[in-house]
Amino acid sequence: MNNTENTYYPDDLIAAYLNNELDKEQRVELEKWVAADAAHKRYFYEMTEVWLAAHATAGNKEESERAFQHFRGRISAPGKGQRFSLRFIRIAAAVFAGMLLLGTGYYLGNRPLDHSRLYAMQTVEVPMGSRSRIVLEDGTVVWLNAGSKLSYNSAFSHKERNVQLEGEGYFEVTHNKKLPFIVHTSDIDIQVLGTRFNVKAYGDEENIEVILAEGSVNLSSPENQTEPLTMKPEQQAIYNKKSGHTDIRKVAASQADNWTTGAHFFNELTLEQIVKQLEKSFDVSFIFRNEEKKHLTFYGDFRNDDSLEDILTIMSSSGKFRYRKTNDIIEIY
Amino acid sequence: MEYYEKQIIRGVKEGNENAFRSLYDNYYHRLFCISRQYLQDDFLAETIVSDVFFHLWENRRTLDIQISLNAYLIRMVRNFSLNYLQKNYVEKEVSLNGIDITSPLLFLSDEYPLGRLLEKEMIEKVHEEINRLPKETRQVFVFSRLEELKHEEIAKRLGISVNTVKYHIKQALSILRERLKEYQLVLLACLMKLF
Repeated sequence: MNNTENTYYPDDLIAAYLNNELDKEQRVELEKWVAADAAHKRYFYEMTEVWLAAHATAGNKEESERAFQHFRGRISAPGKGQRFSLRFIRIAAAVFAGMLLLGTGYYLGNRPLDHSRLYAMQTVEVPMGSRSRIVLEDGTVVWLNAGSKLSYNSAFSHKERNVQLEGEGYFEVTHNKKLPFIVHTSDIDIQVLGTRFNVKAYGDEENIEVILAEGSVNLSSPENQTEPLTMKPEQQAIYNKKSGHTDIRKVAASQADNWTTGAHFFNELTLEQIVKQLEKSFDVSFIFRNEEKKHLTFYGDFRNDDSLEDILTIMSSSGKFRYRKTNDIIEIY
Repeated sequence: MEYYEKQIIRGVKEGNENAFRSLYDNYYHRLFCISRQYLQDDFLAETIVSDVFFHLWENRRTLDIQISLNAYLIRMVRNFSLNYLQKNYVEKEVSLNGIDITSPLLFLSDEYPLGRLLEKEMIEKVHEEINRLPKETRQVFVFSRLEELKHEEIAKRLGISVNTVKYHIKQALSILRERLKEYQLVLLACLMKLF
């Protein structure tokens, strides 16, 4: 004991408390001691304060950067109070290596090259109400939104990288200087070397929209034969099919793939990672009453108009965890 | 108020992204620590600090900061955390059916606001005092508090027993408390009148 006063100071208990190691009995003991005397309380407070201040002197760049990015996302969200809401499609607790295709699209990536089928068109179609993530042979990742269709030639990634898109797709194109990646839509072509961008080209909409997250892309309209337009990161190009006019505006890079994350694909994520996503989407807080539950792994695919209750009900129906919701606090145990 | 702070506040009012980035760089961690001490939960603490920054963003045009930026942010985090506890804690206690009155309740009143040392720009001082600790004690304490290593890990790294680790941590706390006390006494003097 390192004190001058003639009192018993339970430094052991206090240190254990600060280190989050107290069991129930010890906690009660400490609380009794603290409550017994104003001087005890002050001592306890001072120790806590020292502990806190010592910790606050640390801090790492990664942590604050992550928090800042979260903040950026929050302030750039269009319209305050807008929340993603999700609708469940399917949850698969099964674990298997490699790619997992959710929804009812067809998975074509990594299929060994079949020469008899060379030059045959391959098509991935995603029905309404679902989404699909595919990996093309060159490693390019494509997220296809509901009601979209992506076609490409079997020569894809060997001689050229041309794809035809109807609907909405988010692309993460692997870099290849020799083979530019070209997305053909009904009206315009988007040519890139390697970058991330989103294309929205539904047949029943009057605009084709491209959002560039990184790098640069060239937009051209084969019919109009005009100079290709080069987009910069964090720009959105809105091409009007009728007028042939293109408007450029500034957007947050996160808008390119917002829908992909907003859709909540839980692709081998731990429950800890999942609740972080849910917290952001629904503005709620999760508390783990059982630390072990953090490490449960889930596969799941939720659409963006389902409620939090639905997601939790479905996820907990696996029997792997239980939850209790009180206002905006959800306890996992 | 320092020039640097004035610059940041002006940037914040203008909604300048870089101003907010430097707020995060400079204050995020200590704010998070304070909130966590109240809420005893990482997720909640992150949310609270995020709410504070968001609040700052939303009210940036009408912002009027008279005290130091540091003190202002700390008070906000404290208020937000206490609000949260007051709104949610009782309910949770009831729903848990338990008798254990967990610690945050101890800090529910304004009697002992956490983060006083930090509010008083004491980080440098704390750092200094940590550096003045006896070597072994300092090593253990730095591993424990700054690098958040578990007792077992520290014991392994330094080749000492877990009990020795615990001893050094207690030791460090006591010494630091003694040395930082004079600064706290000023703060606590006014509190004593309450009793």
